[in-house]
Amino acid sequence: MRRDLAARGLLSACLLTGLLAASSAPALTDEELEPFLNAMAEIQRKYVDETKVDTATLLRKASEGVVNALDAESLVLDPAPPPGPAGPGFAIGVRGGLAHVIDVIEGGAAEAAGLKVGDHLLQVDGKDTGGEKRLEIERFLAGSAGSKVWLLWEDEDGTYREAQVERTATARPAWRRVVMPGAEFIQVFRLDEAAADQIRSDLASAPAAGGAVLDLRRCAGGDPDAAIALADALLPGGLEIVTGRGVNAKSEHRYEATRKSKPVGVPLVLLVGPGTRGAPEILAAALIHHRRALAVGKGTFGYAARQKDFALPSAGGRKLRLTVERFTAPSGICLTGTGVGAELSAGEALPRRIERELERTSLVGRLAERLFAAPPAAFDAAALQAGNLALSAQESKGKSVAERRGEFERAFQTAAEALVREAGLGVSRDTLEQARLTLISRVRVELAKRHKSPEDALVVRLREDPEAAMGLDLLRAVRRMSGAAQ
Amino acid sequence: MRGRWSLVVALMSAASSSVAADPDAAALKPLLGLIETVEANYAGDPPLRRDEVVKQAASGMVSSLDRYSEFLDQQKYKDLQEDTRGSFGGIGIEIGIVSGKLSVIAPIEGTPAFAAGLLGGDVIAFINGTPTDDMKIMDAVHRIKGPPGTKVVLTIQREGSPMRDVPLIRAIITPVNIRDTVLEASGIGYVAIHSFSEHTAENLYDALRRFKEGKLKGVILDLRSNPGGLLQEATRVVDLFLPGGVAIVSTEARDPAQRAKYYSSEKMEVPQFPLVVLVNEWSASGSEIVAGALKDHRRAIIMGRRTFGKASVQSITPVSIDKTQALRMTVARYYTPSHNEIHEVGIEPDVTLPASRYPPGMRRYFDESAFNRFAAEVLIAIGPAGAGTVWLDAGALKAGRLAPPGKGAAPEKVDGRIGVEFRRWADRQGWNETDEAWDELEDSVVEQVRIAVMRKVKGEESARRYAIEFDPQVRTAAALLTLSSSVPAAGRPR
Repeated sequence: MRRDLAARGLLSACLLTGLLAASSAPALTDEELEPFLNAMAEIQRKYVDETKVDTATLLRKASEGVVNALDAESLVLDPAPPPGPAGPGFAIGVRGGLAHVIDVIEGGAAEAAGLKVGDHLLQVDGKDTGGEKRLEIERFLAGSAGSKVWLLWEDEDGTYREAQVERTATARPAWRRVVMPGAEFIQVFRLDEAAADQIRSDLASAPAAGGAVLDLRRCAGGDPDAAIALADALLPGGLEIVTGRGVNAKSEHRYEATRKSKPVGVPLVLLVGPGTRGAPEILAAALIHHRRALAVGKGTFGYAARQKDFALPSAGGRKLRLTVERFTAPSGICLTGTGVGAELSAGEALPRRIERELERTSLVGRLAERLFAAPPAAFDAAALQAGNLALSAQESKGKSVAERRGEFERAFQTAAEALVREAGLGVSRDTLEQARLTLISRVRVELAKRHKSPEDALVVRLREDPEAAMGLDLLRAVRRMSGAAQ
Repeated sequence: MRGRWSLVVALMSAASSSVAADPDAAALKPLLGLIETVEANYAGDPPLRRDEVVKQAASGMVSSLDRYSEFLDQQKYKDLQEDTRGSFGGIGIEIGIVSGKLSVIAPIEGTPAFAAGLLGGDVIAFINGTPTDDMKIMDAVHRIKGPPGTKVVLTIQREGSPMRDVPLIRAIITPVNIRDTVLEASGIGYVAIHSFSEHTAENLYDALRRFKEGKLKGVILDLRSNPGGLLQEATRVVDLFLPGGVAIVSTEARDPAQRAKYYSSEKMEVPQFPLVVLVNEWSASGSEIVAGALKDHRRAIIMGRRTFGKASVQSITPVSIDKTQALRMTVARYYTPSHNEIHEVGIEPDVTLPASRYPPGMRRYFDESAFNRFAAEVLIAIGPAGAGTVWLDAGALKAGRLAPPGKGAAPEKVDGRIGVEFRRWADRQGWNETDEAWDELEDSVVEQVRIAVMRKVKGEESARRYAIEFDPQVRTAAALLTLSSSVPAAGRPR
């Protein structure tokens, strides 16, 4: 293979001047580029279709080849702003080239269309998501409020489903504090610096006796440094929070808790799940490893890395976002791919078949409507008007807690069966039996949503949420034990 | 034999002799900047090497061309060389995943695996001590292959026997890419070409000679699911059937070296027979050259399904100094002698046959080796139990056949009984079929049971032969040839 070395010399000189500030790699040599340049020359000379071999196209595709081979968070950023602030109401994470649905916003359009956590998003408006970068897929999903987007996905049973979904603006705060009796309850949606600061001060000012639940289940992002700072506030100095590894083994960095004074001591329960992705996984891994918090829920998504943007001066100033640091938990497990496991599970959800049956018949909504409109004699009519579901005083009189519960469930079952029969919904008795407790919970949440203030409805929802309830129970148990010890 | 191919032009080019002018430095700058930024900053797991980034760039570039063009890294290039060279170092087994376990499908006769007594159905639990539980099939293939003379140890688990280590010395394995047989029922010669690699035409020539000695009435050339291979070898196959000096195929290209017209050679006598070519929707490239040329010259009847439609020629050019990486790229399109477009269109058969596909319900039985198990557990087991009293002829069973006992009994009765017995057995395994589903499956099931019995009694090779006899498309082709041979003069090409 003869090369025109004079031309290559010139080329190398140009390269040196074109280097990026951030780069410390030596310029590519002739030899290293040989396979690429030879392939390009061959194509330009001999490829059968002349219209496909212009230099600009080939080089653009080459750049795409480089970027596509990187992880799903590394990409060349599109300089144009996203097409709109609204979306169909769910979050994704990309793993193994597949877009996983990791969070479905309650009350959103995607939820109404039947999208579930764990489903695989396959297409958005006809565009394949396979092998795409996460931000690119999110760009497909984004648009103006009221516009429609067509989704194709595969559910857990391997069935393909599709729906046209309206985009709605769903601005969520980075975090919010919910006043729950007896404990601090903080929902985190994005663990950025401001959120971490505020959460830290909330926890510091929380009564140590009460304890706090940190709900990270819908937290699909944030800033690794914010997670590290928050862990720092909660752990004694000297403990490892997380270890980051950069471009090679030499660039390893161990992040340690720096605190000399006593850390914030409030008892902590974390709620985690597949919607916990990125920075909150760093926080959870550190707190769980050092036994600073108990974790309830399901395993986290499994992606924790830091990205940094680099300007590409010779590519029109576009920015290249690269994963520059991957995080390993104090346990030595690489968070990406593995995630953090929860120690305690609140049990399995309903079988999918029953879930579908409830969905298909809109049973929860119908039941809430019916109970509100025509309260059965056994229930307290006044409470129902306020959005609560309870036995009437008359029915509860002189009965033990267990008897009252039995009475309540029987009355509920009777009402549900009557509705199913009259409306001809075709839900089997067996299904109603199996789903009863879930149905009661959901009807309570639905009633609260319709007839209470948003704040109060949220409290009901968390109380009826098995994982949140378990978290609060655990804190109560901690309180009781520490009380007993004193 | 080589001398006969004087007019055939070699197409596969060796390394390019020179490289065109470099793209100008300014155009390259963004790409190089990108590569260097990635290399210096990307936290890869495992860390990214520079040569890998360059490879990704090359792959990205080539991927914009078409789906047959590809940048071949070291591993891919090596695999491809093996595929087209037609031989490699190995032990001579086909492997596959059966019921979730890496298993031997069949040993190839005359190979180390065959000599060591490996059998279809053996589970390969370890390769050189590495468990195969989560191993991908390509990974297993790479572990088993290696230079001739070296050793590989397979840990084999066979039903009813303890696990044992089988040490094997690798040898040169030449996979069978062509098989021939004589159909018993019709006395028609049958040759299947699975792909066009080195020696394909030579092997075909030998088969035709054997057929000549057998004084056969006609030949079926089966190109179904043949994806192509070496263009030159395909032209040599056509050459065997045509008189000298007629066009076989022509190519059009930007590169003058790739423009060519192929003509048949003046040659010694090659046995000629009435010919039917079987094709299907997976017959591509070289298969389409053969079918197209033989159709245009009315030398053969083309039967089956419209072919795939890949009318392009790829060249493979090493692009790295050490010649371990290469570019496979489409350099030419080809046309049949009557300049018919094949690209995306395919070759339309003279006689279109219904697609021969198994009903989808057969899948799980194949996956679970149901036919082989049924054959062993039920049919062969009842043979020695007193064939005279049952519905199978003991003598025939010993020869691997299922026939009614005594003379004069209708074979259809046996088919019906095989179906009933299989369904009963399948029910016991928990594969309950509805009557409706069973109606669709029954014929295919009975056919597969017969093949499985033959495999169990007489081995893989006999089973293959048996399967060909049963193939409905092959039967149709044979019937056509038989019919045309009985019509004086008519239907006889030349």
